[in-house]
Amino acid sequence: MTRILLCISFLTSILLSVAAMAQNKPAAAKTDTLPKAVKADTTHKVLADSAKAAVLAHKDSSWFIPGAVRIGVDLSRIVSAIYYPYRKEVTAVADARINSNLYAAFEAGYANTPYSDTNYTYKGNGMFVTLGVDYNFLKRQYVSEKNMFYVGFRYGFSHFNYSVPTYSIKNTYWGDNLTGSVPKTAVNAHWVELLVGLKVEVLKNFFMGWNIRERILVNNVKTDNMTPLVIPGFGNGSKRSVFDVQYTISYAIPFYRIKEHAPDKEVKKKKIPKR
Amino acid sequence: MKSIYQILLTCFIFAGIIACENETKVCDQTLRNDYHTHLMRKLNDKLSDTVMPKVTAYAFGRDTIYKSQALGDLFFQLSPIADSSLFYVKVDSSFVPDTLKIRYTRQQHFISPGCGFGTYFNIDTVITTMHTIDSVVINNKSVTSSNDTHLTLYFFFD
Repeated sequence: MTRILLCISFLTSILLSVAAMAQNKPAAAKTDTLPKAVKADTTHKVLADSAKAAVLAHKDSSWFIPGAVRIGVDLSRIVSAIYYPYRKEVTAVADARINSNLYAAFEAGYANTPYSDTNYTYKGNGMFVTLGVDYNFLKRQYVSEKNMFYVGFRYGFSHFNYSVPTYSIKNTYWGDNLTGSVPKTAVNAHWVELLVGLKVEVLKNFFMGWNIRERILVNNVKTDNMTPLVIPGFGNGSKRSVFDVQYTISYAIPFYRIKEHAPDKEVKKKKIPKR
Repeated sequence: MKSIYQILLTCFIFAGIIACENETKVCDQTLRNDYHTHLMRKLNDKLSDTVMPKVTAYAFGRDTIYKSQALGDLFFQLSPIADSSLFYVKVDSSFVPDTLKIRYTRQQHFISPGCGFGTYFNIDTVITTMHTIDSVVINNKSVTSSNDTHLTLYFFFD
């Protein structure tokens, strides 16, 4: 719990300043577009927005919002590789807008886990993918806003190999130094993730974001005599549940639009007083 | 300026937490899985735990483990490269010594990233001479830690 709070405070403090700048930048568009979008039922006026995505208001109270495929990388893996030299991992992240608040999310990566000390050497490598959705809870300040505060769900799959070329067991009393090895073993791991995070457009179509996530391993990857050091994409191989942080930079490619309808509003009939 | 210091401080704490979590750096589990042998005696038809006054024990051909010590529990390290270990046990200087042969199967086991590998034993048979020892009972066949009592030696004295 302490870790979660620390992570949130650390990452939030960095992003708050960035987010504040990003929120200020399109403020002019906000004042221009929002009232017009509401009043625009009869005007058919094309509204300007920073992403050049047409935001049109029609008589039927629908308009287009920018859709984009956002592709990026997870920078936290660089920090992770410094603190855990045996975890060399690259993670690419991507998402695509499905409707106004729902995003399809995809992550993929490769991990190499070489480790060696006086007791044993370990070699592991593998790839992973996660698929899921993100739901944006951030209320848009203007129609084309792409910043998001989201919660998400992922299903993760990893296929990896590991082996222990040599290990030694020392026995002080018997004076024996037993050596052995564990042959190359291929394993599949499945897990689910729950996450919460932010993505902020700091420059045009350029996003920075973070998320914190809890991963829960679904299947067992341990054998009687060996536990993998690292499951690519998941983390510590000896735990069923792990906490992780992502810090991403990504670029949005806006090549499609999504039609959005105005929410239905009940019109209250005025009561006419009887005379 | 104050907020910068707060950010930096949080960064350091955060980095420290991550650094402390490197599980390959710390061996947080005990590697000892000695064969835990408990001593009991029967006196006036009553079984009771006992402390033998001068216990001497060693594996044949190896260093002495205990030398004339008052003990109620003995801990023997089993050989990780053989399928049996033979021990000399003398519970009092005036008694005739006994030998204790423990037969087992071995399995190498990954303990943790920080500790590396260890050996687990599964006891097949315990064979003993009966000069002083009256009987033995195998309490637990699986030797994965020293916490459990694996064997009880019974001594019957008048």
